[in-house]
Amino acid sequence: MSSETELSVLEQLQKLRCEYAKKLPDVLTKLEHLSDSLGASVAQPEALQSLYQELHKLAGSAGSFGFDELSVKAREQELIVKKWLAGDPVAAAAAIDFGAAIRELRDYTTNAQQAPASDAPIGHTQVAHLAGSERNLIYLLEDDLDLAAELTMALTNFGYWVEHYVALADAEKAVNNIRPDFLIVDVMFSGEARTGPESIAALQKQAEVPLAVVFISARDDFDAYLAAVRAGAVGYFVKPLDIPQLVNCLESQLKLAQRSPYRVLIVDDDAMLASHYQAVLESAGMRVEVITDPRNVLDSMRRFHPELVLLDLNLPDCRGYEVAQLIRLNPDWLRVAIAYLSSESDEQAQANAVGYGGDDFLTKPISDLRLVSAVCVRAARSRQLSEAIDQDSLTGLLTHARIKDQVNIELQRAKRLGKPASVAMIDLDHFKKVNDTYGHAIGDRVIRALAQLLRQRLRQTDGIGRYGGEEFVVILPDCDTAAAKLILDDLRESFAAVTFSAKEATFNVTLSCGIASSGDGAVESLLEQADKALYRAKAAGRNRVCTVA
Amino acid sequence: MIANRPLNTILYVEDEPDIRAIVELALQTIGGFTLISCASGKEALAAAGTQIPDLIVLDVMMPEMDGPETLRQLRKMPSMAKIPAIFMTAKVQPDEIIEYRALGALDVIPKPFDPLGLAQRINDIWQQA
Repeated sequence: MSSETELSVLEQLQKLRCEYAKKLPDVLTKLEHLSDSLGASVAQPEALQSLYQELHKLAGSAGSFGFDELSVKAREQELIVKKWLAGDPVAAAAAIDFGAAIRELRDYTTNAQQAPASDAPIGHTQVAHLAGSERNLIYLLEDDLDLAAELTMALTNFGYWVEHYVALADAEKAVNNIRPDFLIVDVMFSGEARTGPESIAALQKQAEVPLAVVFISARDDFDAYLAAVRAGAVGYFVKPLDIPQLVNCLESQLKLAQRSPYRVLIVDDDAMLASHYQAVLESAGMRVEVITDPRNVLDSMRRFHPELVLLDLNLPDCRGYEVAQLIRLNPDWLRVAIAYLSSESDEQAQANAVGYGGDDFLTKPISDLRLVSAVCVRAARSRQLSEAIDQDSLTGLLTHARIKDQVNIELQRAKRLGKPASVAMIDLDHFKKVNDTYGHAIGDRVIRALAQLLRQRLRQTDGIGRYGGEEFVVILPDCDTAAAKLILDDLRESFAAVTFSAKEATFNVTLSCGIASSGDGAVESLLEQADKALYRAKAAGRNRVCTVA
Repeated sequence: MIANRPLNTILYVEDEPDIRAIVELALQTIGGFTLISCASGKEALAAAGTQIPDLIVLDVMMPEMDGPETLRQLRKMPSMAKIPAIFMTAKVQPDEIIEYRALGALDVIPKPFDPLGLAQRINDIWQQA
């Protein structure tokens, strides 16, 4: 084997290990749930059998991926379960010890993740991100190990995949190998520091597309910010770190990158010209529909949901501003931007047209560049407005009315398809105390953090809304009670692990949750049932997830 | 070495995708063998109908059709009746090894295994058989 192929084998091996490592938290969560489900009576053959199989798989696979200790520990537990399966009587105390031992398995994943135990020949222990992974990848360049551990844990809780590097050279190698979604750099501004913004700027020069870099720093002055901007910073945070705020920054960047194309409807009876505009706007990444007969406008509005309508003023049978007024008669379309595009040069006529339901006037002939920029700006405003109407201003989640709609839509859909769906109602525990002790600004931060966690952890197809002050509603399509409970329990644990800081104090907040699923009764009453389950979770001592009894 | 033949093609059966990926790397990329990789006993039976391997490597614990049962079924095919087999398993109780040998297994490789040494190990078993 040449050294070149050897390297690639080692790299491939490393990638497989990393992919495996990424799955480990879920494997362990499953094991923990299985072990919890045994409760005090370990004599449930089905649960025992599943536990045995999971432990057996883990014992066999973990060591092959370099997690030797985990493998050994899993094997020990496997043998215990095997004895129980064989009919060995089990004392309740043994079951409790067993649960603790299962939880301890986690200790052997974090250690190994930093450095796989066996096969020392691998020169670098950086873990690689595989394409197609659902988690967003962050490289964290931080020489303060305590801070790195804290950040890694917090960001992992928010659903990110974090790889930590101490040396710039290693991070650089990793960036060249697999590009991360974010590079978080603890930046030092002293002359000889190797992780100055200049080094990052140099790294940026090598990248075809700039890296999304977030700086953390002790400095808060103009020059420090300027250096960060020149190194391509998308975020800059001053220590001590406000982690929810950092996550907020990452999230809004991701949202920008994932924007769907703007939808533009062109109404113009000059088909040639309209298709030219269409080509220009499409080449700028927008989705465009053209209609030459204004009578088709209602159909197109309903079907295509444009964010901007470009209207010619002189149309057959009617005037452009009449079409604008017609669109404005439908309250759902008030948020759609309307711009006239016409050769009308009379300023008074232009002003009149804008007065009748339009937002703006673009004069023909118009250059391609100007058309694109004008349309972009207006479509963006329209989308912002639309989001502001549908989304809660503090959290960006759906508003009370919209999440209720969403719950209904999804439950009806589930009924139609004969699939399950679950509704979860979540409420922060003792939230009033947080507000009273630390003030409303900190309280808002806690609410935003939960919103971010929900967004990060749940699927794109799940609906998430802020129902009231500290109350949230989630609709999980294609998810039965048991699956929903697993997901929400995991979320509950992650949220409890988030540490907030205020007035030099740190604190944690827990949540309670009630779940109702489509099997639990009529669609109309599920929100109510979830609410009752939530009430029971509160009554039973909070920080728990309850399902419909 | 079995009938003085070099080891070229291996029929490999494993239900866990992670393990399959790492064994593919170990045997194909590092070992240079041709691997017919199957995710279940059923898939292995279908693959055995079209290709004849030099060696069969099987995981023991698999849902639906486990490794020993897969081997029993494979053995019923005339072309597969005499192909040597190796089990890979985390179960290595002495009585189980006897059971596997009775099925005609050359050897049992315990899990976890060292991916970098796996090809060599299989080659050694092949040479000594």
